[in-house]
Amino acid sequence: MPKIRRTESKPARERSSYAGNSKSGTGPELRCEDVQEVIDAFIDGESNGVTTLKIEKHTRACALCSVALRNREVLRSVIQAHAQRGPYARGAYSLYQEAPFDLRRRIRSALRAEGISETNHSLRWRWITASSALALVVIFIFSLALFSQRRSAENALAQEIVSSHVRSFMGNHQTDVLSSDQGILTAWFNRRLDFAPSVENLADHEFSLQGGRIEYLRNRPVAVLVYRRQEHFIDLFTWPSGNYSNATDRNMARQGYNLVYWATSGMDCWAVSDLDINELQEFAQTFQEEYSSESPR
Amino acid sequence: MEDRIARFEQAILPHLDAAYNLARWLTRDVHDAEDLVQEACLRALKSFGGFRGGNARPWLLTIVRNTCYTWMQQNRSRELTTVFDEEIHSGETNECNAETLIMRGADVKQLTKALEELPIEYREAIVLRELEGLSYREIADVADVPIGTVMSRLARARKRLQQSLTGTMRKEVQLGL
Repeated sequence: MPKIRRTESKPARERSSYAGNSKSGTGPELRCEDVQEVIDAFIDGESNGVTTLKIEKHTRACALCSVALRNREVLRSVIQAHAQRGPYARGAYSLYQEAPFDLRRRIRSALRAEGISETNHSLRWRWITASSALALVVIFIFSLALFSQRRSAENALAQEIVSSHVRSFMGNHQTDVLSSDQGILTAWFNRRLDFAPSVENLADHEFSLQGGRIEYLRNRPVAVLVYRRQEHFIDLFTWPSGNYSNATDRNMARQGYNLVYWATSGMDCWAVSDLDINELQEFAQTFQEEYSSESPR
Repeated sequence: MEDRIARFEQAILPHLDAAYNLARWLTRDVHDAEDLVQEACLRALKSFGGFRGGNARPWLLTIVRNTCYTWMQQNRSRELTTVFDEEIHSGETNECNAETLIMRGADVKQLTKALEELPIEYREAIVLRELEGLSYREIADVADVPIGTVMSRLARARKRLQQSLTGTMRKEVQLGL
């Protein structure tokens, strides 16, 4: 389809003054192609003042574009004429389709149903979050209480052990039985206690067994084995584990003394000494190794 | 909670016709349109907290449009294929005579057919512009495209409508209708 020459519609000087994109600013006049692109914005009232002026000017002079403009306007008015709202806007009477009568009603009840389930949902969630938060707090407080109770019980115990250890240096009460013989000591304890503490000779590791005594801790009699390395004494307190004994090994320090705790075969063992903590741990380690290397009883 | 629903209804239900109109033109089916409008309203209720006031109609129409497109993606994806860009040829064809349109007076049936034959993006632009009277800015927001795209879609849509209408009516003239 041949393009229709502009010479029929425009003065000669306008043709030669055109250069480049003329859509912005107050530049050169619009070409027909440009008008085609902005004609819709023009009739929709969406083109800016400058472009509007240019289009009006162009279409006054250009028969082709003024036909195009008129066609657009007619199309628009035809559509608008058939886009009535109101009583005619239903079925085949109007392009504008209004919602069916019962759709509004159905949507309203759907909204309410959604609102109720949202409320339930959020209420239920609030209840769940609140009660689980409360439960967590209770658990936390309880375990904190339990923990601190155990801690304080353990602290008290450690205190008693250290006191007993220190007391043993004053006066003649460090050992009630002076022997480094395992058999003699075992028999001695057996006669006096309702349990048999394990007695290990650790002379090979420079912990020499001195003897033993009985102490009273937490209202019960406990066995104490006394060891010595150079000028340091180690008291090993041992008794059957009760219901509340701690399963994990631990270290402590009290009043300048170190303590090491472990549990073996249902027995709680506390070693206390002024030895530094590494050597005391070595003692604990050695004792446990010697114990487990013995033939099963 | 009931207060929220009351506020929602007050803001949104006045635009129910606009919502249905758009859904019906996009899906070209009255039953699908009803279902999709209901779904869109429920979604709108959920996002109502994020609605900052202002004109509720474009806000609702955006949700309706997205609901329709999502549904069509799953059920009628063929209708969503992108149209290739056509060049806008300068000058109208001589066959496009405005008098034809005026004299014969296209009726709703012919206009409906012409509209429904448009690719969905063009149809959407015409509906939002001619039937809903939204500004180019508002159409760009609802359709989530730049304003330039809105302009070119409208231009091409109208061109096609003209051609399709005058083509239809010329046929009817020839057949003596």
